[in-house]
Amino acid sequence: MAELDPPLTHALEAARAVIIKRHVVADQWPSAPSAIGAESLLDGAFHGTLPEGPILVRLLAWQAVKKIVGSASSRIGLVISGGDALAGITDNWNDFGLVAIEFSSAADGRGFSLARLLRERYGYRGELRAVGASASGGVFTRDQLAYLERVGFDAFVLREGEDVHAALGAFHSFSYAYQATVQHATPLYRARHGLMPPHQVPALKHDDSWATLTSPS
Amino acid sequence: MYKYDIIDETLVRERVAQFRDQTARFLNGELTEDEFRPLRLQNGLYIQRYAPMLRVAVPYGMLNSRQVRKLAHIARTYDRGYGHFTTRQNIQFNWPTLESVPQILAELAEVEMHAIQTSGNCVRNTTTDQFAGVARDEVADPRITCELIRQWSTFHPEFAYLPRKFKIAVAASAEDRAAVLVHDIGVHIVKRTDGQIGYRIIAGGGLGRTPIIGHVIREWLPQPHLLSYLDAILRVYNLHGRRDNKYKARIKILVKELTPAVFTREVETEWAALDHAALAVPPQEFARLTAHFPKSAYQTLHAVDANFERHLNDHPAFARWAKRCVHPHKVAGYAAVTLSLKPLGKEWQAPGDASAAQLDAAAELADRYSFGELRVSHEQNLILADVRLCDLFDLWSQAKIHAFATPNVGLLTNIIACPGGDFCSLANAKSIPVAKAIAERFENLDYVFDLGPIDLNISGCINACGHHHIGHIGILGVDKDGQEFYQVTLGGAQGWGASLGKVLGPSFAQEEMADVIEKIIQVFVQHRNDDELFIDCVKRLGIAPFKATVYQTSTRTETIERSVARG
Repeated sequence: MAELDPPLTHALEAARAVIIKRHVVADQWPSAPSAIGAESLLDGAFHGTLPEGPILVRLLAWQAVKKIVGSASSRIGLVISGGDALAGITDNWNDFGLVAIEFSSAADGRGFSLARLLRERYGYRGELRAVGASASGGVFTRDQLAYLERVGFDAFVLREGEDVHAALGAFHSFSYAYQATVQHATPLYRARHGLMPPHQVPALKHDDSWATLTSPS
Repeated sequence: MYKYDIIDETLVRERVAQFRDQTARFLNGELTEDEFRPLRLQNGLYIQRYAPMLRVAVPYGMLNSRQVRKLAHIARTYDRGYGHFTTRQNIQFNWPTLESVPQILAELAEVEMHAIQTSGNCVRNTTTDQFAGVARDEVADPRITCELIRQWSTFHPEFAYLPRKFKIAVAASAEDRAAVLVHDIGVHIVKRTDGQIGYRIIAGGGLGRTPIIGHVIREWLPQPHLLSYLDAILRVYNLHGRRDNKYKARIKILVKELTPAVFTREVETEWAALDHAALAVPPQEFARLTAHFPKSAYQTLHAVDANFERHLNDHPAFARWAKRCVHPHKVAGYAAVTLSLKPLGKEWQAPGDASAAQLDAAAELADRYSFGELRVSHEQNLILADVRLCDLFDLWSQAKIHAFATPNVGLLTNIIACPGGDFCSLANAKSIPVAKAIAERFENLDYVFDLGPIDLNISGCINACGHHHIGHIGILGVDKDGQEFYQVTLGGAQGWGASLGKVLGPSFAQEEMADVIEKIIQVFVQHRNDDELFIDCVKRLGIAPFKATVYQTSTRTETIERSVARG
């Protein structure tokens, strides 16, 4: 997945642009709306075999697809919806090549909790993608990017028409965060007092102001 | 008063820049109305009946005089010369233009103020006792906990798109002055017999369409674990709260549908899975927050002030004001004072409204008499928390000039009211004219004083911003075939013994309301034992005698006749 320079944006008209780890790249996965769901299996569309290359499977269809493919692998991406429960799905989420959480709308906040659970409780370390239930596969604008990243997403499909390059600036909207999240495992109320494991260096833009924290202003 | 550090300050300024960009993108068509709505709401901006309304956060009701002067400036420059204090200790401006809002927010940021999360489906401003830190009956200063919650809730990325709004209140006293039992979460600071401070956690209370008294879900939570426990509650709510129907989306419905026991188990299970040690608030942080509330420079004074006592004897009007508006203080020689925003007669204004001139005057009084600090109470009045007893008479003399000295705090005319149909696009009926009619009917202060404490709360719609359910007398605006009517409830109460009022009967037309209230008061006066409180009398008698009197007389007949005449 090579990073695209802004002048090459027109190349994305063919391949959808996706933000991965704060870079705009051409998407290697199918779009979320085309994920294999329970209906497509019932239709017998696949006759016991699946398309070559990366495929997306909805969580509800996973058990049925698993019977065909045997086990999770890097070419399989799992699509989770807001109402899905994560318990008992798999012993190793890291077998999947991708986990995408599909938001029914930008106001459906369940995916923010699901993302943290996947990262912090289920140990998922792979690509975690925020997608949306729209034709383009995205519902978010740049305005939710920072929060999405803080709860553990590292890949983002934005809503149609949103300028992905301009959107990158939104990751830098805020210099600090009060809470513990996936992005900052140590909350500020502990980090201020140096109460963090040595390897955790707070992600701050203003390193100079960090020094002022310990003495009340 | 909490003093920002570099982090608090930086975040507020960055928020202003972010919202300036969002507003610009909305105005040039890059963001749709649907996309912009949650963004503007989380910055306090509603689109109202006539104009946008901007709700500015007053964290747990605390203001300094510099901030109050800034609010006065904003009222003058961007509004029509006044602001409205709300039942959640915030202030709202009813007439700014959308284009001016980023500039207003920039001006607010200059004085450590903002409108962050004053609206929207997120954690709202945390509220508390207006006498926090000075009340004699508190076990700890609740403001430290409030500030801890403020920082935890500000830009919490996991809980910015909840099923519905989320309100937390904190109380630390023998008397609950923060209505913690009717909040999504009530945090009650308690002290164990061994001297340890911790929290009793209440969840699932609320007013609105389905009023419910909250349930205690944990009797004792050690102080360091408050935030992880809040995370657990919010996560259960965020994942399982209903999103299909906004009227069933508050946490109280989830608690009710699951039952409090099952909800509690879900929260406890979630909490058990969190890393308590990594999320614990260390003692250093409590100490740091405490240090960010500079101590008032109290003088060593006698508990009794001879001049104050003399003025009480010499001036009955002053004595009456002192009885209603002066409150005990934990430091000898000091008192807390309520500046009533519920004046009567020609000074009357909508409950909670303050003009720019009044805001400036309040700032002046705060500087002169109360270390430059002011508070907002959930009863929509202003508080000077640290006044020397020897200054009370001077303060009273000056408060009178600015219509702040009506001695009606806790009394019938200390009406709580939402802005209602005059401003709010959600309202079914107007609140302000009803408040006015009642205030005019009960202008006789001697009479109202003799009636004793009565809470009268008015909401213009079922959202219950005026807390009508917990008013001793509650008034709710309802819509009947496009006409505005008012339902009356009796027997509601706030505090630890909170109860929800019972509906008296069929609703009334606006012009009947003063008569109805007068009849209710007449029944009380007839049946009252000695100095019995109104609420005790209602509890003793039940609503039947009130109902009989209110509906037996001509009022009802006239209503029916009018309804018939209207077809």
